[in-house]
Amino acid sequence: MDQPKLTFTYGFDENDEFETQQRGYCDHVVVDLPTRLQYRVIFYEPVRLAQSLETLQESGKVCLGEPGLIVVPTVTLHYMQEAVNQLYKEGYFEHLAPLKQKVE
Amino acid sequence: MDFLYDLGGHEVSQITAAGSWTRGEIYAGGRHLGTYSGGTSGTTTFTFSDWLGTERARSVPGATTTCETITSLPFGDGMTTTGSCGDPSPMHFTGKERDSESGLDNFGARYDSSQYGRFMTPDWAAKPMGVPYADFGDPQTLNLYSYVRNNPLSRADINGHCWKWAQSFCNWANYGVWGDEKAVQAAETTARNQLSAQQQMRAANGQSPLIFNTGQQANGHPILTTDVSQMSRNAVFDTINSGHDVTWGGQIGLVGGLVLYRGGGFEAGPKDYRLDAQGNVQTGYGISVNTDPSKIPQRFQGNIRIFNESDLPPELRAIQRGARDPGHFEITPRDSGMSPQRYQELLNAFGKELEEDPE
Repeated sequence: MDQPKLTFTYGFDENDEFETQQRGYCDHVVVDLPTRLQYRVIFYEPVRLAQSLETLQESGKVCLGEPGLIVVPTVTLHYMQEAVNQLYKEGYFEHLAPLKQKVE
Repeated sequence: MDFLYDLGGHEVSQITAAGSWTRGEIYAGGRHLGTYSGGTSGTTTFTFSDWLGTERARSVPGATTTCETITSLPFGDGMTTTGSCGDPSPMHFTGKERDSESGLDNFGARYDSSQYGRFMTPDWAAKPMGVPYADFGDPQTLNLYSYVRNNPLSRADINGHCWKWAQSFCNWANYGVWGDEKAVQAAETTARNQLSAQQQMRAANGQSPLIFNTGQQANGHPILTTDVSQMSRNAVFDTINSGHDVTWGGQIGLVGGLVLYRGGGFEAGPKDYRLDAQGNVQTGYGISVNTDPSKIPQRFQGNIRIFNESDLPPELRAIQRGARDPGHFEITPRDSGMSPQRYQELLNAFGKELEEDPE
């Protein structure tokens, strides 16, 4: 494996692809890197992220600082995979705390 | 003197007690275009309005100059008319009729006094509510006499109810969407693009879509009824004018709240919401619903629940989420601090209530 691999804790089928695009975010995603390290990430589209920030502000909170937050144009499998590939090359995951050492 | 009104509440004809027609008003798309005055041998004048619909000038067909100019102050006060054609129409401030005897403007639900810059009676609602149409985030709305929240240069009242409600009313009348401009933009694409699919879906459910497509009526979003013959446009407008929520023929109508469709049951899984650091459901996240049944995932087709947003328990609300589908909403805790168990309890109770009383 020379590219990061996405693993969805609760699965990801065709229905999920459709519903995730509607929702505009995808939680419970783990990235398996070729280094055998795993990282938890969450994908958002810009609009959904803005809506979440707005709701956060309404509820009296002032910030959102979520490790592993990745913003993609649309939350599709294609964009999610492309995003982690690019971020892996850029060394993004070196700044995140891994979940655990992957056991083969 | 008798007056005839169209279905949108516009005065279209004036008739004497003896039955002679003396004046007619021409409307298109809810806008006042002109006036026939002086009876059958009278004249026609065309009306020119400002951005709020206040009538500022009139001209006769073929003329290159105006025959009447009308000036007034922001609340419609201090109005003066000058010109050779007199004042053929009583329609003036924001296109509303000014009563020649009282000097009040007829906004439908109430009369407004331009002189005092306020309505003459408090706002009212047919349905019992604490402060009609109040938005507690905007204290100006608590003044039930104010005209467009005292902002007459950028807002016009549609029907004599508070501006916010009137805006929603206007949007419903023009676009079939109850809500602000954002809601219109969001729903318009969905409603129009999927109209055919919706009709098929509703027909399959034994419902008949009724679509208003004339000038002042909704032209994009079907209103559901099981019996089209029970409804007339008069009935629609009478009901709207008397309140918000509408029920016809055993099915809920669009007006007065967002009609939402839920595919499958009301069980919320881990994919349906996010938890905060305390393990509570984050407000702003929840199970998906849609304003368009054809957008419900295929696996739930045949098991779709329909309900009105206003029927949700007070602890929950439906909010639009995501960019891809403007009709996609999520039912989410209204406030933070709700445990997943409580969230599920509320959803279960609501789902059960829907099963027992689908109306």
